[in-house]
Amino acid sequence: MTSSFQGAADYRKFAVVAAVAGAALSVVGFGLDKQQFFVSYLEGFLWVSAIPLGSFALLMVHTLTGGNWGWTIRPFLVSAAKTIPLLAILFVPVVFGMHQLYPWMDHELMHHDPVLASKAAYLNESFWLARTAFYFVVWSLLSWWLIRLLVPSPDKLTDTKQLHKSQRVAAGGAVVFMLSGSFAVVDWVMTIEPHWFSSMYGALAVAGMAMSSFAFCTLSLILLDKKSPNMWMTQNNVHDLGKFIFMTVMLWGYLSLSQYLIIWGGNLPEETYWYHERGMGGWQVVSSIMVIFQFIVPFCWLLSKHIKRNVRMLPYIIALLFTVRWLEQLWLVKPGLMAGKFPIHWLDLAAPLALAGIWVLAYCTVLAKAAAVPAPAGHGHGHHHGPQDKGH
Amino acid sequence: MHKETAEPSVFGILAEFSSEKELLEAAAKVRDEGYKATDAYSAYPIHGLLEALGKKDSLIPWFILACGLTGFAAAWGLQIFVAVIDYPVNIGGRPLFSWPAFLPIVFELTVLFSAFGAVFGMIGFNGLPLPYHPLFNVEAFKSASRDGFFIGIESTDPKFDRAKTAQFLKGLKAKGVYEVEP
Repeated sequence: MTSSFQGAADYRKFAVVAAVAGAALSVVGFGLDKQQFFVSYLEGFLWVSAIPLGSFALLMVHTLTGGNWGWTIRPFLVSAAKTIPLLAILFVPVVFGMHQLYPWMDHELMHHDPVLASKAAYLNESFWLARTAFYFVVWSLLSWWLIRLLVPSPDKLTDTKQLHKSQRVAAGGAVVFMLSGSFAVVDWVMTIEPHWFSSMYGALAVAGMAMSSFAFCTLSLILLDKKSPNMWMTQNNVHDLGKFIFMTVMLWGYLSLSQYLIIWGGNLPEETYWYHERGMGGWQVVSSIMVIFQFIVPFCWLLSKHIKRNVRMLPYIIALLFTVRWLEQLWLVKPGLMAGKFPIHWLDLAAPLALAGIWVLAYCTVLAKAAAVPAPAGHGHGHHHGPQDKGH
Repeated sequence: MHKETAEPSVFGILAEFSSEKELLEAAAKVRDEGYKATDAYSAYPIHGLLEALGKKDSLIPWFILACGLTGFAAAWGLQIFVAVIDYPVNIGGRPLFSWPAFLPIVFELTVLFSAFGAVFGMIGFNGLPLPYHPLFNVEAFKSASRDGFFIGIESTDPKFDRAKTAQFLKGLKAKGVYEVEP
């Protein structure tokens, strides 16, 4: 069977328009308000990078567990993971804006604040830069290594030698990724408010990456199936992906509540202020929107199995999740830096739009060349359930 | 009232098939023929068998949802009644209705009641425990728990006709067709 993802190339024109429009607006915004530009850019980077990083993580999980859900989205996971080196380039503007983003990079402040002074061994410019470079090098090398070793299709799983080779990389890589991913978000986001700390932060961010990746890969599957039917898009496989999206919604809700509950229960001022500043100045509205639309609404919506396997409904749920994921990045980054300002600035839309355009362009270019995974025995055309199928 | 007939009455007709694929194909034909009082038997769950037999979704998901909501309501009710109404205690100066502290119990009871609903609902809706079933009268049915695939059409079906139904099942490439004594 020839590649069935050439349809991805058709989406590149939308990506180019988004990238150019977003970038043009961002340049104007940079001239007007430098700090706002860097804040918005970091939000966009976190929002977009969650997809390739989450895909890399899921690729490792699937290498270890197997299962049809992973084969169904394998080309999308691989194509997204292949764009990780691009993330290193996209991160460069954050390095240029680091003095605007991270208060602890101000030496004056560090010396006059005993709490921050005691953290100086970790929170210093050169170590931060070295760690950031380390994350990108490790992720790029690990993902490249894993993709090279992956068993290409389920009927090749009998080659246990190759399977075990890829599983060793995936097992070690999963541990390395969980740790490096957690440290990365701590370095890039949590240190915006250097006094505050939460041990749930890294897990919460990685759970968000899994949500973004499952949602994005499912959307890729559904959209590209319209152009050339995908043998893997059976009702059961779509149902599995719906369950995984549902699972990540619950995981996000569970971890978010845990973090909140621990801080609320501890009731220590050095921790509670973080939620306090997200409960005023308009941020209380954003906080409520996140609870309602990142947990309650998608949870209730996805409870029914008929929705989980409904290829017409899933894109709307995915669009909702990406909207709240975007809002979540604003909620994490902005309140600590821009207290007293209205939550959303037009640059918060423009910079993420530019980054999404650039990334989707790269993803579609890689995906258009990807080969489809051969369908397993017994998965004939008769089992295909296209968008016309409404389910039972 | 039992109607006297020349032949003894039967519970139904059972047909045996040699593979999952044949079972699914036969089930679809049984459905298309218009039989409603049907059931299929295999040693493991088969995806798509319910749809092939034309069975409607079971009520279990709704039962589980009802149980889950009961647990949800019970957890809120219990905690509010105890902590706010019946025995208010000032803990660290917090308000009596400290809802974040209630959430873990709400979560746990929702899950617990849902799980009970799923397990006991499954047992109940399946009509279990069931120590006797007429199908046990068929010797070949023993393989249903090992490697056999069966479809049974029960005599309560309005379309059921002892001779014609048996003939119809034989026409579906059944390995064997058996009359089931009541």
